[in-house]
Parts: sequence; structure tokens; C-alpha cells
Amino acid sequence: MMRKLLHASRQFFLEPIAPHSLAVMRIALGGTLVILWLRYLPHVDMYFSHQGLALPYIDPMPGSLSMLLTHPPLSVAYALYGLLLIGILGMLLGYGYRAASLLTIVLLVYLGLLSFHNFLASWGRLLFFTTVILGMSGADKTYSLRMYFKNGSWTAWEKVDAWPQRILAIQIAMTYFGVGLQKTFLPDWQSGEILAYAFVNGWSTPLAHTIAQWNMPMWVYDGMTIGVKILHGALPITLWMPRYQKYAFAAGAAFHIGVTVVMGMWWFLLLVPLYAAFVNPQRFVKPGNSRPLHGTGKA
Amino acid sequence: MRIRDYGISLGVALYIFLTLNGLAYTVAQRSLLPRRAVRFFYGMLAPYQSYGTNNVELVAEGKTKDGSWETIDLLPYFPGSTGERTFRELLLSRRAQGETATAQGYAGLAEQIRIKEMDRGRSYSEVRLHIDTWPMAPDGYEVLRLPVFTKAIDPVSLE
Repeated sequence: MMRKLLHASRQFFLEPIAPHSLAVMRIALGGTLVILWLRYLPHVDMYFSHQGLALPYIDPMPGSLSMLLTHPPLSVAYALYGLLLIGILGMLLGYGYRAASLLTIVLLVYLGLLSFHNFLASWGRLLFFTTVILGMSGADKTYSLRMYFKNGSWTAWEKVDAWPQRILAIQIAMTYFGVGLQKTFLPDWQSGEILAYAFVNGWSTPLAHTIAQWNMPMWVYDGMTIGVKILHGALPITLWMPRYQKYAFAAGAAFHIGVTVVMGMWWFLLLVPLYAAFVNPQRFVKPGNSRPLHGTGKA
Repeated sequence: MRIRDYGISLGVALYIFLTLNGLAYTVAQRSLLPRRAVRFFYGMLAPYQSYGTNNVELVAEGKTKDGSWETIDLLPYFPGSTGERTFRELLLSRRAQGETATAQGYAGLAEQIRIKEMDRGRSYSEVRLHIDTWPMAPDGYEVLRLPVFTKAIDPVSLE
């Protein structure tokens, strides 16, 4: 029994698989990071340079490494910001992918400690974790400039280890599960009031304010809260089940589109293309073909 | 198995252990590891957990030469969306470290605002901070930010 379990887990995490799911995730992550960080372009002076308010996570002490967290002059801040964009573009295009990922990770840590620690929420952690895992995955082994320069076709592909895709799938499922579990028991999630106020707080979009003015009865918000909890309970299971996956993807997408429309938190939409982690990469290669893949090839 | 496979298996096992600890912390506020070690993994399992019924915004006032207090425009220092601005103004990572760290954070912030304003040609002998709070309203974010509804609270204790 134990031997079978070990064999199954070894196969699940260590088998070589096609890289297409990981490549889809890489492109989605790169695109999200580009948009996310381009928003800060007009504010490089305030966020990253000595012209803004500097509250690093660790107060710089002379003679120690913490001095690296002294906010730099504007020119250096622009140079570091430019390097970050280069790193992110390298990830997006799949060119010099490992180096680009490492550069991005180092700069995200640096900027996080410098200034962004005051804006680190669950999505920021998910984004960082995904960047690290994908950086080690070989997600540039298809749909990338690397494969274009190597094989003359951006759709050429090579097999990769399964573990990064599996870990990201586990993490997404656990995120929904943990969030659902908390929403089930937290006192503030026992009625629809929390969602009603989500339509009128500092994050709310103009459309959310307009919807709030419809003055819908509280049972509508109560119903939405129950619906969210059911969704968070169902997704960690149905995302894994090929038979129900398309419904799970649609329901998850509807939820994240709702969060975007109401609270403007569009970055959670990244989770939708990350559902590719639950898809057998073979489906990206030859839809409808159940024959196993063999070695390196061109799709 | 090759050595590389053992390394990967070890890494996967460590990840699962940390995530399960994060989940245990989610359920029971307890884990086998210190909170600091599981905070990142717990943070990936956590929704926004509570809500307020008031909006909040940091307000800075500078003491002029004649002894009067003048409101300083903080918008250029906290660009971006209102939600992100509020996150930053509340110094959440300092707040997580306790009241002393939060108080030190706001003291440092006030002094930096004084220096930055001086660089911009506005000289204040002192800068003080408070948080304005006013009820949320369907009609818009600032609609009820009127003297009768607006209260000034301490940024550290939020009371």
C-alpha cells in the first residue's frame, strides 16, 4: 500500500510532461506583471527614490547590509525599475528565462523590503510564489523566443518535470480551500453585510457604487456570501476533475470578474489562466488525441 | 531514484509541510512551526477577514511660523488608487509588529514629510498626523466627509 502510494506520488511529481500548461501560465504571469508594474511608471520618484517617503521594512543601519534599503537617487531608481521591466519581459517572451526570473525575483524582494511591504496582501504573495516556482519550471520550453531561436518555431517543445505544475495546482486549490474555510467560520462572514460594504469602500469602483444605490435587500448580499462560500468549497475539488473542469473554470472566472467589477482588483484575474495547472498539457498539444507524447517534438 | 529526484521530493515535501502548517494556522491559529515561519504560506490562504463601516485617510498638518496648523496635501506622496493609498497609510507591516513599531513608523513618517515639504519650499517646525474617518456611503467615497460626520482618530491606536 505504502509502496503504491510512493509510486503514485513519484509519478505525479516527477514524471516528464509537455510544457504547454506551464507556458500558458508563464505568459499570463508575465503579462500580469507587465501591466501591474507599468502602473508605477509615473510614480517611480515617489515609490522607489529618495524623493518619496522612505519607510523600508528594516531600518537601514550604517555598516550593515540593511543600508541597501536606503532609498536611492532618482536615476538609480529608474535604472532598477527598468531592470525589473526587462526581467518581466524576458519571462513573458521566454527569452533568457531563468536569468530573467532570477532578476525579477531579486528586484521584487528588494522593492518589497524598500516600499511595497506596506502593500503586501494574499495576491502579492501568490504572485511572488508563482514567479519563483515557474522560474524553476522550464516554462520557456514552448511558446517562447527560446524555442524560436533554437528550433525555428515558437511552438516547438521539450518535456519538463511535472512538479512545478503540480505544486502550482495544489497551491491554487489550497488557496480556495483555505479562503473558503475561513469565510465559513469568521464572524464577519456570517452575513452579507461584508459584501454590502465591499460595494462602498475605498476599493469600490464607480459601477459598484451605482449598484449599491439600487438599494438591494440584504438577503441578496446574504445569498451572494453563501454563493461565494459554496464556490470556494467546490473549486478545490472540481478544478481537478476533467469532467467538471470547464464549469469550474467558468465559475472561477465569473467570481474573479465580479471582484474586478466591484473592487477593481483585476490582478486576481491571473488565477483564471493559472487554471492551466489543472489541465493535462497533452490537451494543448493535440486536442482529442489520447496517444501519449514521446520525447521532444514540434506540435 | 537519482539524487536530483531526491532533492525535488524533499522540496515538494517541505512545501506540503509548510502549506499544511499554514492551513492549521488558518483553522486553529496554531501550527508546528513559529508563526513567522508559516506567515507567508498562511498569507496565501487568507481572505480579507473583517470589514469596517467607515472610510479612513491619513491627514498631516504642519506648524507654521505664526504657530497655526496648516493641512499638507499628502496625495503626491501616496499616488495610486484609493484602496492602495489606504493600505500604505495604515502602515500595515509596522502594525503587524505591534504598537511601538507603529508609533515609531508614524513618527518617522511625520519627520520625513517635514523634510520633503521643506525641500519643496514649505517650512514647518513640526508635522503632526491623524486619521480622518467618516461613514461609507453608496453615493460616493467622499460624500459623507463632512464636519458633522468626520472624526479625527489616533493613527496608532485607531481610536
